[in-house]
Amino acid sequence: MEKVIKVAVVGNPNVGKSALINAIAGTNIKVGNWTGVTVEKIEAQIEYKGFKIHFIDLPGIYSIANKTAEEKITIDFLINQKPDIILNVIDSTNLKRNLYLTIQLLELEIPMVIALNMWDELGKRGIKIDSEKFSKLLCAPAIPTSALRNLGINSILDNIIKTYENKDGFNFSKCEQFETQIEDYLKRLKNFIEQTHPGILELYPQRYLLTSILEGSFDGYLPSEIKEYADRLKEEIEKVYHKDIRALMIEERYGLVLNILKQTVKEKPLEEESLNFSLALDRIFLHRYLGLPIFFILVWLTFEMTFTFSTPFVDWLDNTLSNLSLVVNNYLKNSPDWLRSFITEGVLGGVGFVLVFTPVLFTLYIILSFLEGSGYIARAAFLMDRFMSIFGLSGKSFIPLLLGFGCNVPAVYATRTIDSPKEKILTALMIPFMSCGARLTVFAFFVSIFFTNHRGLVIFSLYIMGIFSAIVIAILLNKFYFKLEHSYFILELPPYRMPTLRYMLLNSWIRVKSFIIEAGSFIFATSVVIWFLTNIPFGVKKEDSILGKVAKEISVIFEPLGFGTWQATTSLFAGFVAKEVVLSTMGNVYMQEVPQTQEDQITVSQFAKDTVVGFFNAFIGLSEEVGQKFGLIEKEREEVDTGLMEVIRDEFTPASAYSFLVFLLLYTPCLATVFAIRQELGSNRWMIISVLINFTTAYIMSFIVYNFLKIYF
Amino acid sequence: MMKRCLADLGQGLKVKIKEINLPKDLRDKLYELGLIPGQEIEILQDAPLGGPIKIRVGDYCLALRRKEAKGIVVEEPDGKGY
Repeated sequence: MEKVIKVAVVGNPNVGKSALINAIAGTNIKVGNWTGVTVEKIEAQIEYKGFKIHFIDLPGIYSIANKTAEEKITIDFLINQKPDIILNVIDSTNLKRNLYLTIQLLELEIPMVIALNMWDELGKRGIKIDSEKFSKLLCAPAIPTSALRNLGINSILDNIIKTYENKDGFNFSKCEQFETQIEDYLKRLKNFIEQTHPGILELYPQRYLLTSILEGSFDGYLPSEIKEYADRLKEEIEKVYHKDIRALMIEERYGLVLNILKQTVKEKPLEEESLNFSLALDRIFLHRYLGLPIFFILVWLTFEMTFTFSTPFVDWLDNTLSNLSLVVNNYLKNSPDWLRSFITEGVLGGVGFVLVFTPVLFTLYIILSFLEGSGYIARAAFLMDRFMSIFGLSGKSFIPLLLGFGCNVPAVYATRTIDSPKEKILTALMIPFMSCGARLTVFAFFVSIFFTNHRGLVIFSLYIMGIFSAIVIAILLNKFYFKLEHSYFILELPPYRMPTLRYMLLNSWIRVKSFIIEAGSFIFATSVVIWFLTNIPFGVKKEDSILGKVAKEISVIFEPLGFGTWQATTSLFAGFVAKEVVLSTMGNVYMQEVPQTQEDQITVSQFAKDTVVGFFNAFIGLSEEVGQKFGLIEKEREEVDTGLMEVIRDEFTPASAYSFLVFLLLYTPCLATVFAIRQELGSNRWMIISVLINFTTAYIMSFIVYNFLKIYF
Repeated sequence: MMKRCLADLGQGLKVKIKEINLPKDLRDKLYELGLIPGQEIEILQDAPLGGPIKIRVGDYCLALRRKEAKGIVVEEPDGKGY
């Protein structure tokens, strides 16, 4: 039987942990969320020399003080899940701060392997580290690694196995030694626990238990006697040192770090070249006057590239799927109508909904991996912090919100660059209010009927209303629920680094795969359900389908908003699935039965040829699209005949039309966004809250707008 | 003598941390990041319009809001006060 080694990967943020795991495990990586929190969880499993090595990437942290969500996850995992080995990834160019965490990790008494990452950068800086002595001093093998140069990967794996096999002979206790008096206090605490509640000593790593009780970071259950005793010790220490124990222990740990550095770091040149390079770049990117304009140009480029680069591939997927449905239709020509309709519209339609997002997401992830891996995201946060702090957010929320104007789905996934879970939730809840490209098609249609003289103004007013609603929601949620205003902003600005293409592609592919599997299955399932609702009983008019009947019942609640008809309600149902289908649904329900038009024939070989040729044409299209503005947005997808315009003109007044648009703008953008929120926040609760917030806001705003307009117009 | 804090100082200055007068949690967080008394830091940049400041702590760079920088009391690198 194969042995499974459970390895927890721990380290500071920005030390190249995920790049190292990518280098070790390739595509065998799974992304998810830690249960109940919006912190990303990455796992990987590989087989090596007869062992199964299971890596769990813990969130990037600076200490195990048990204060932030990331620290809590780490401590909880390390103590309760009992990993066999900790792989501590260290940035060799920033040893001092990284080793602080290493020293703390030793307290957990779990065998450790240290990866001295970014080793290749040391040479450039003229620093030499004696890694063997390093290993001795820290009671753990320290292996020079570089994900960039694929250095040390096998050695890490060999050492994991070696450490695992010698697990029992491990001696941790000698490696962290505070000054004698503090050690005496720790001993006194231990004796006291031994006498009163010896059982507790069995439950936790001893050293961790003692230090964390004394530091006040212990989170588990403690009998009140022990608490009181620890408080007495703390008082005593404060009297002796005129400092509180926590500050004292942090200083002690830094003292140990300095001591290790003194013995192992051989050369320290005066000028550090790569840091200087970063400082020079920052002088441009964080420039007092140039910084913001450069940032906006980069944001604009991100936006442009995400939507422009993916457009030809979205079109290609669209064409392929509609061709495929023709092929299938042809193949099934002897089957009953309902089966054909189910397969081509329900099943293939559902697959289409999922797949059309993949080119956009893949492009976005590549750009984000670059911005993140290069260190620019931290700079963006730095630049936008002043502005975003007005709404209780920090600079990191800006990019996701902006992407929302293109498409809400990738925007929700872009929130993964936000570390603070509260801020991430708040941002994800704001994104649906950013009016996306799909909504614009409906706006444009209505505006061309009712507001021909003020097209731009009306559409602009809708965008502003979306932003305004998002800000009001953010301020309210913040005031009554998240209470982020007292938060602080302490952010490391890592050196600029060039992420490898391999890392960017791999990382993006893993995430797109996880979208297709996780959010995709929900989107697909729901769109199949919707097909049933709109088509059963089969063969009747839309009005008599299940959805039509439900819409008739519900439509009364839209009466105060000016559009209480079953047709409008059905269109809103469709809009809940995707805004792209609102107009075609309106065509269906307002015009009653539309004759079936698609009688084109296509052979299987023609289909295969079209698909392949189309794919390569997409690359040609790609080069043509670059530079063209807002590809995805301006494309007219709906072919609505003028007949619908006439009907709509009769059915709506300008006031009710505007109210309808406001509702369409503010209620849930689409199923894909809903499930993206579920996946990214890892919670059904926030998904439901998001839908409720959107619906309520839409209702209130439409009500106000309609009744206001009714008086004046 | 008046205490000088990080927020008062101009770009390019090198100083030494004397003490941190901030709420305990925040102080501990800064401590853990290596901003302990005696540590030398350099003020590198200001963000526009009263935004955060960028400092260098040993081998790495950190951004702080002005509010936090006000609580960091500093002295001249030779330890003579400011």
